[in-house]
Amino acid sequence: HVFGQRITLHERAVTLEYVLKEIEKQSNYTFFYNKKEFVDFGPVTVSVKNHPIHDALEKVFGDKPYVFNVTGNVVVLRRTKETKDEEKPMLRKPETNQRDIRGKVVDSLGNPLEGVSVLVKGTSRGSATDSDGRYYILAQTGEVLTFRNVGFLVQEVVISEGQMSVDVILHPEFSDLDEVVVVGYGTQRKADITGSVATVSENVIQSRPVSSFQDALQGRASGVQVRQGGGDLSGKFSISIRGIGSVTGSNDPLIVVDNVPLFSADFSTINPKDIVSIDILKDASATAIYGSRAANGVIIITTRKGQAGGSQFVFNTDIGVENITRMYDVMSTEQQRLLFVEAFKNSGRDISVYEDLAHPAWQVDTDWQDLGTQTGSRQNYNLGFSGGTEKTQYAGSASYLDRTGTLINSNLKSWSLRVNLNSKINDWLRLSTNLTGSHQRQNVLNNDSWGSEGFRSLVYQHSFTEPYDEAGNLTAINTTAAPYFGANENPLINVLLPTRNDNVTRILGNTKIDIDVAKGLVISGNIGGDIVLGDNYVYLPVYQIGLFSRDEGSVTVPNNQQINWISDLTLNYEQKTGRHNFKGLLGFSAQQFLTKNNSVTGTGTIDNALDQLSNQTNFNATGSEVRAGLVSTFVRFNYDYGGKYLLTATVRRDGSSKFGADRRYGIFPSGSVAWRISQEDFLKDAPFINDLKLRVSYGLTGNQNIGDFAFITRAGAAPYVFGNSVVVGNVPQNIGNPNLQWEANKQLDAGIDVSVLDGRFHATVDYYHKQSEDLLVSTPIPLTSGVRQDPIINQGSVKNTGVELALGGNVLTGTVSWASEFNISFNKNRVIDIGNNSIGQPLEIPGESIPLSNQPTNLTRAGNSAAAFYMYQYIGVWQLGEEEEADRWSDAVPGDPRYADLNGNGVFDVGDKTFVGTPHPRFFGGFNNTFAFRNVSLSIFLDYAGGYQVYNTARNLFSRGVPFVQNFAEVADFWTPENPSNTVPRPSQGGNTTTLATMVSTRFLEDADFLRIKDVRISYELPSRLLTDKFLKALRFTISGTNLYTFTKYEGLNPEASSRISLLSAGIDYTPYPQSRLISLGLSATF
Amino acid sequence: CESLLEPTPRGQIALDQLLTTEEGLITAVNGVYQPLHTLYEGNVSRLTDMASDDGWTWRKETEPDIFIVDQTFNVSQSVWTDLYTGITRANTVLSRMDGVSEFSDAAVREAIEGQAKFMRAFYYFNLVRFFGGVPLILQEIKTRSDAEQARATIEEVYVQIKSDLDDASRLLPDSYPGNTGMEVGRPTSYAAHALRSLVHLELEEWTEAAAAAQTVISNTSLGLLPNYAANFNGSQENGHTSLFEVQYGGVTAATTTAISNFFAPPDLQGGASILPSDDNLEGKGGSLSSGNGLVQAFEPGDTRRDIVLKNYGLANFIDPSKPDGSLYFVNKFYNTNDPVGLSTWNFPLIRYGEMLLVRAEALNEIDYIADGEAFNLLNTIRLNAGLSARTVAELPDQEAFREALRKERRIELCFEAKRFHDLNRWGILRDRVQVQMDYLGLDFPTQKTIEHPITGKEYYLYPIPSIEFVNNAQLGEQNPGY
Repeated sequence: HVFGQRITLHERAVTLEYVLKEIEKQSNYTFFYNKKEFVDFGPVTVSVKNHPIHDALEKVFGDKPYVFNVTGNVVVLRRTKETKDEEKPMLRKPETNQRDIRGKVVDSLGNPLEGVSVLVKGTSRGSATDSDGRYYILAQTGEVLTFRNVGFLVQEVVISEGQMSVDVILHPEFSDLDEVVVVGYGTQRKADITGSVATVSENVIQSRPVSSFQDALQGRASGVQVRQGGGDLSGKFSISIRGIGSVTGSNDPLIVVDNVPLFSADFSTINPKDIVSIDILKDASATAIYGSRAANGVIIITTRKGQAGGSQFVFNTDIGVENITRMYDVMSTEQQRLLFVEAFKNSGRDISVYEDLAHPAWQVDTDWQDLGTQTGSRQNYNLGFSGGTEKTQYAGSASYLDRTGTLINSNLKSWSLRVNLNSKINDWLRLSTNLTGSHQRQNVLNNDSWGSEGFRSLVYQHSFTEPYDEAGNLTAINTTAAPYFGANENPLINVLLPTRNDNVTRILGNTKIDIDVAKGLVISGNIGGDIVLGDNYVYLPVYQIGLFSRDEGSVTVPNNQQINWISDLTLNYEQKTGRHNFKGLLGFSAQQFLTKNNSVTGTGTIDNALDQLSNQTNFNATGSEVRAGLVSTFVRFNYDYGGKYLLTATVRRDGSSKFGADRRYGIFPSGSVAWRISQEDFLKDAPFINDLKLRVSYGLTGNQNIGDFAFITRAGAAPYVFGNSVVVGNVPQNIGNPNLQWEANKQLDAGIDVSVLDGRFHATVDYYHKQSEDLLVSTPIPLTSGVRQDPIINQGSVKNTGVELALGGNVLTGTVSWASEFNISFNKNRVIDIGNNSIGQPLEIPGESIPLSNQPTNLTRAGNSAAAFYMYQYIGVWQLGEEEEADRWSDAVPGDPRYADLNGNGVFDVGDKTFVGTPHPRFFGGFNNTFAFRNVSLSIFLDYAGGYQVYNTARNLFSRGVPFVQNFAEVADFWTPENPSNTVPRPSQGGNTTTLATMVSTRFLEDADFLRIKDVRISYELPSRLLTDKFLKALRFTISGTNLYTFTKYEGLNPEASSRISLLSAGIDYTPYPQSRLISLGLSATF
Repeated sequence: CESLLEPTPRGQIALDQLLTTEEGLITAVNGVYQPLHTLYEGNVSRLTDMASDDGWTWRKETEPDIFIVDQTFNVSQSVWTDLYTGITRANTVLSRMDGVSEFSDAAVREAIEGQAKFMRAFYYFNLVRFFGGVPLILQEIKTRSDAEQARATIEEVYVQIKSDLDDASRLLPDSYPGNTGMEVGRPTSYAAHALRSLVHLELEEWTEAAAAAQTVISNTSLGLLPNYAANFNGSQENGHTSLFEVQYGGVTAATTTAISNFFAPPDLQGGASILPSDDNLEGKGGSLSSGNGLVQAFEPGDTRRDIVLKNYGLANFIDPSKPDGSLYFVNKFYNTNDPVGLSTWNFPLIRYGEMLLVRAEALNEIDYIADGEAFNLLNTIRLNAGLSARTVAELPDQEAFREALRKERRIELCFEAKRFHDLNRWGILRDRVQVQMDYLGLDFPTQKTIEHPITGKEYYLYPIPSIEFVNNAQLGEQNPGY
């Protein structure tokens, strides 16, 4: 605590309350007084500059009949009852029966609490605890000591006869109604919020080692679905808030970091250790302040700020090991050989080579998945510091992360530095700035077009090929001919030999100036920027491995820049008149985005040491640059009457460069009302309920994520060659639509917030009805149009309805405590209408086709959920005796797969496809329990989702019984006349059986419901009495396990896998970077 | 702030702005050729050589190899799309030409128009042979209804093709000086005549075919190459044997070709997507093959054999009684300098050698003349391949000559995306392919053939992509059998 704090006051005829608040603002002092004693105090006029508090208060009270008593930073005010000079401050003489009571105040973990105010009830006697939690106070038998501290429940103790010491344990206060929630362009008290906003606190974000903020968010907030589809070490997450509102546009929420709305989707370079809160704006009332980008919700990230007081350092580290949670169960070589025999027999081909047990191929059994994977490791070191004076506070951090991937040759290193500075320049000017710089280097594996990051190649290759020769060198197959044995490459060549680096450098920050123009009126200016620079490097080396060779090396150096500038000007006005409270916000904002991509490829080196561009002889370069802009005006108005009836109204007008001149501007209004029933007289004194609030909101937001310049017909590059020289080609690439406008999202939200027993238990329930209209749909036109991009038009609507429930509470308090948080969200998605196609039928938008079958798994059509699964229904295997029916149905024979004849025409055709499921969970959520006993705490966090399916593409490729690729072990039970399986059809190589077995069908569509033990953490906080060294203030050890176990029937590697970014192809598992289990040890030291 | 909302597109340009200058128009013409890059990197080969008696495949299960193509087949859909993409681009050039008032040279203007018409004819010629009567789109697409047109008849499409080629042969220069917009490698008037000869041959208009071929043959700057491999190995690109080639170059996948890897076996980092049909396999390899295998079709001493075929150099484990090294892959386009799918070798579309065969075939169909010009033409090819000249004794009548000509055409042009069209126009596709399909107990789908309205031959058609019937209400009927 800083003593001798100086006060500056220049006030004329203001209330005492105002003066005291002013002093509180300028200092650490807190006033305690009984309002009734001060009702006739009268107006105060005072002028002091840089005076100690005593002097300032002397001036305020003059010779009025009041006394004050300063102890620590607590000031107790009292009206004198007798003569005004009877009690002079600090000079009171003890009464005869009074004595020194002493004691210690600790929290439930036994840690001493500093700065707790101790008052003798009904008197002006007060004191405060020191840094050891100790206090002294004069009191007498029968008097009551009141202990108060922010964030703790008030405790009262009656002094008994002869008692000389009172030790107290303060229990935390659970009510968070006074907590501040970050809303767009400002903050609000939680109690005053009228919209639907979820907050994830620092505790939760920092509770476990995470790779990014999305990771930290998973399962923590109702209505927010975070799905880790796979990806590389930098993570590949998708976030959706309240379902899917846009069919062909983006469904990503807007992410705002410290007043900077982000543009780049690369979040892995934002250090999660710097985040102190994540606020998720869900309903239109909360999001409309972000207008045209708000339709998918808004996530506001706030980073750590400095606090006045002594400096503090926190050092965090975690060190852990990672293992792949699950691998595919593939056939042994012997099983694969038998598969060849049966398949070739069924396809009428010679099988002698496969029956020759002496053939060298059958002597090898390579476990490619084992060879291509390893135990990964993770080390993270983070040093944070903060501190400051009354005028200037600072915070900062330095961080280093080093991960080795679970796939060989993949790793990631990341460095970040951050500084935050807040300064009160003078009475009317405040300045704050945040600046983060980070750099991330990653070695990635080859990314095939379906994002499998190299893992799929380990599954695909046959076990009967050798990885290394006798000398231990990589080998390639030259003893067998591929057309007779199938896929026989050595996948390790592509994993080990090329170099593929992805580097990202990012500078993200903002500077904000607040000017107090007049009482209640603040003008703020904010300038922010987010600069993301990517530079990658790929070198394909020269090598000769068996017959595999590359005679010339090749270097590709792609560079990309994403530069995002924002400037905001806001005016905030606040006024209280009696029970009427007004708040107004008027703002202007301009934002510009620049995306620049360049790539140079050079080939020709013949020496792997010469692996730079300058060593190459032939070159090719590409480049593009796109600018986009957004210019906005917005207004927000908050009103409440006595904290009981609350109203919020917001309007934003956005102008966007993504639309033509006639459609450039959009207006997005919203309104909401709330009624805090708990403030009504009939409930105000109810001991049980401390908050009960009803909220209703309605509003309009927009979505503009459609790419740039869709409204004009553009010429795109189409290079051609004459001789051996590349020439520029330009061709029409779209049909421009000048009438393109925003997607509109109308959302109704009704919610209840309840908090009972001093906030010990709380619950929030929300119902929402979201209708997206004027959808930006890219409507298919005939291929005869000759342009590659279907025109985007505004057409149709999608509806999402849902219920969200969040419950929480402190079930047990005291020595053994138990806190529990639970959330669940239900969402139902319906495509109402996306227009008609050329022949007047409802438009159907298929998803991407699955390899080999070349059929899509998803279909978006009115009346179903977006991207619902649409395919044949697998009903088993044709059996002996069904020859005739099978032949008529699809030239099938016994042993062939059988699909339901849904249109009943006796023939297998596209009319037999049907809607069979949805990739979007009907419900999902998280459940966290934290138990604490003295210095040990245990937390168990579960997340889950259900009511959805995932298409297991790996099985579609590797469980077909077609032996030219490695098959999964399940196929070993294939149908034969002797083994009339009704689940696994007979093997084949080519022909009708193969065609039938390759069909996209429910055979490979699996329920993906899961319950995952996402995180279990045990931490031990060193008792403060052991920290004799004054240098170290706190020390905590943690052991945690992430992704410990997943309960699911899904047979793939991860029930959340979703390889495609496009919603239209959601829920397709194409063997992404496998999910891993992380066991880590953590240490956190504060000094 | 308003300026933020009107950023100028960089690196791309509004079409309206592009097509106002000669330079812009030239880049638009260059774009007309670009669909050739994807068409001839494998997809056209799949629809032609794989679907003929020359090639077979071992992995894909829904290929035209065994004629189980359905109307959602993605390869025929890609080919359809690429062909129409080229047509749209040609139409855009032709529709916008009049908007450019100044040309550096009248010859440039004529060459631009000639190239657009030549390419439009080339693309429609492929469309009509694969799919039959197709929508005849001749204007720039400005709205979706411009693209929604009904199928024209086969006859109507050919009327347009001939008209475009007439114009092209008149407008195109005999050779190119090489400056920007006039680079060597663009089609010349001779290329237009050559393409015209192929169109007439397809329609059995023998006299016109012979005449058009003669126009090309009589150009003394053209001729055969002594080394057959030089037609494909990048050493004689746009040289004196060349009439029209897909031009590949540069260093990235966008402008180079993967056809080398398409044919190469996996052991050489290829896909072995099409293998040569081989009687030795007797249907035992992957899919069907043989009975009329290409491997066996080469006469002893044919210098082209080792250029077209290469063996795996392995014991024949499929049938140990067969000699070692009796398993083959297609070597013709295999670029050993570029094993990673970035070959710069051009792909020949019309060669001088084919013109000799076209005229020989047409002359023989008009009338068999013992030791006539047709014999000379056929023997020019044979002698160049190290074979002996055919004599009247060996080919005593029209039918014998026809057989010899067809065999020579098969060898000379194998895997150049010709064989399927030849079998189809001769009306013998079913007969030739059925021999192979017998190995799998399959029947050639005669229900998917039509009687060609001009030649009267049985003619197999690929399906129009089924999605077109959904997105174009005007389109009309699907081809029979789908």
